[in-house]
Amino acid sequence: MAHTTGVLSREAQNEMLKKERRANNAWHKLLRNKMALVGFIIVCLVFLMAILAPVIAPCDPAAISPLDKLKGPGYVSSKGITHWLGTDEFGRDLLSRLIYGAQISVVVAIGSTVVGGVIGILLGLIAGYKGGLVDSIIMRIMDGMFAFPFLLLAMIMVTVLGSGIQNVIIAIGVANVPSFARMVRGQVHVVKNEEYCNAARALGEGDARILFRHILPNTISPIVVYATMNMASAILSEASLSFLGLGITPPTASWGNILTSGKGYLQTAPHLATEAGLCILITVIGFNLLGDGIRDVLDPKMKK
Amino acid sequence: MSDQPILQIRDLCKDFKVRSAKLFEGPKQLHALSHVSLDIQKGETLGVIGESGCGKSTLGRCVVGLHSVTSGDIIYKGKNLKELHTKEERRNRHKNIQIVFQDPYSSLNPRMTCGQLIEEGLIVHNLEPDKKKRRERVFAMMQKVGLDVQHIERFPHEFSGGQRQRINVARALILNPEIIVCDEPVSALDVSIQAQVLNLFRSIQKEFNLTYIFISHDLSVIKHVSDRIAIMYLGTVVELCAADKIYHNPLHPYTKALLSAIPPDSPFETREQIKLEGDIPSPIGDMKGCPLAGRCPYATARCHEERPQLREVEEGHQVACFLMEQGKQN
Repeated sequence: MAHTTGVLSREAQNEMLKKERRANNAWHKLLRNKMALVGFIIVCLVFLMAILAPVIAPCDPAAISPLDKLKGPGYVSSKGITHWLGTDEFGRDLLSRLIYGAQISVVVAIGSTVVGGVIGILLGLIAGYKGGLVDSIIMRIMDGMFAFPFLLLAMIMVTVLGSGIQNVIIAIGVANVPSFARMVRGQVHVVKNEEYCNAARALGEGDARILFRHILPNTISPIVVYATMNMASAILSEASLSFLGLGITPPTASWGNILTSGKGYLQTAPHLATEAGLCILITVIGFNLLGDGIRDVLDPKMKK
Repeated sequence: MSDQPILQIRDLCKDFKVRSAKLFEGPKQLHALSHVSLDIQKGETLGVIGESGCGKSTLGRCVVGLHSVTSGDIIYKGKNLKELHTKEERRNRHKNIQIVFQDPYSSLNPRMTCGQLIEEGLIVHNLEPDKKKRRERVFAMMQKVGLDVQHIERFPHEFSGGQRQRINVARALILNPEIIVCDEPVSALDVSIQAQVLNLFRSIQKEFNLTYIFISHDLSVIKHVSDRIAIMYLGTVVELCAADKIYHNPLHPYTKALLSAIPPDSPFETREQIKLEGDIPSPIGDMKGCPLAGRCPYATARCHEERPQLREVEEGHQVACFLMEQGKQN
């Protein structure tokens, strides 16, 4: 063999690099991870459902029909409409309400996680990196917020801001800030004294570059997992707020308020709570699988 | 070589605050470096050796600016590194004085590829704005330190220790620095790889006319690479002389003890063994007298009271010991 010199041809080298780049490519890694792919598909479907709600919903979600209330799945009304998933306590078509409810629930889940995540991560990064007085001030404020029960904090926010979907998002998001901040700060403490941060400093890098290029990527794994879990609890928080009359006002459908209203009919019409619960469950599983997948994708050691 | 030294370290002190274990006691001072003065000539390798905790890494980190100094000056090419006011000046300092760390495993960001790691310096200092040319430079540098082109997309965990150390060297080297502080660069590698990496250091020194401050606790490594050797003990330099001299004519009692600890080449060889009693004293709190006084077999009353200064005993050979001063007078 003539390869004893160890020098490969230019094309062979490029070919090899292309292969490696492909192996590192986040998208390809996600596609190779089966569970993550399942999660990704579920999340996509939920998104599609929310976006296309006006097109795919068979009925008006707010159309009341007192004669057909609390009917089980597959019920055909006197007007000849088939209610595939049954009707609720006002005789509204449950399938349509669940489809429209996806809009609210998905937006709240993602919105509040983004709001809480961005603020919390920034505060945590600054607190962990600067240390000293800055750290004390930020973390004491966070501890103060922790002292309130989560729901109470969100309730206070909604009461101050008023109801409406964007206020619900802000309220749940802000209530999530302390837990994000605390987790990120702990991670930053571990990472910031690693030798590679010193190496970056010795190269003359500024604080911002060190924070976002070296520290944040190395703290991202637990953040991503926590954020996906958080989406699930945000859907439920929205449900609780709606239940208390502080979230989404009743005629508008959300999975949360369908679930809470169904609670009253668990014995006579169990399909109400079950179906809304299943929607939440599937969405949450989807987000969790996707979150695990993203964590693996971001981890350079996972290169299957 | 009577030019101005490229780096002058003058009376450098570095204290760390140590929190007391007791509840109502204020923090104490740990003297990591006390009054270290060294001159480093362009193109030479200054070996710094000492046991763990003697401040050799602290010295290196002060030089690259990872630690702020408590007092004293570090003067690079006539410019005091304390008085860098503009951003540009501070940048230049980092560009010209680089460091290679001890642990090749933790000193590379695990989430960046080899190419990104080496490229980092070029981006930060904006030396090569064009992306394609930057890649070319990274390629060239990788080849220089003995890495292959196909390594560019790999992450640190896919490399062996020696290869990682090569990435570290490439990262430091790509800025075209004048001085590289090597902070025990081979102590985490096994012996066969050590030799390779040491040879790499030597060949790039020749090529780029680099100045090394080579920190190590390994006598044989230091002997192999250094032109001059500084021996440190408890934050002070106790002896400084040319590398070959130190093995033939050690003067400071600590150096003698250190060298007598090298296993003899032959089991039948007998030589004077100097054993130091006890442990290194704690660097915390105020110090009085020679740091070695408590353990030195030749210690006199004066040693416990006064701190000896580094003095030239013969051409290019400095020792911090009262014994030598007296020896000269007699």
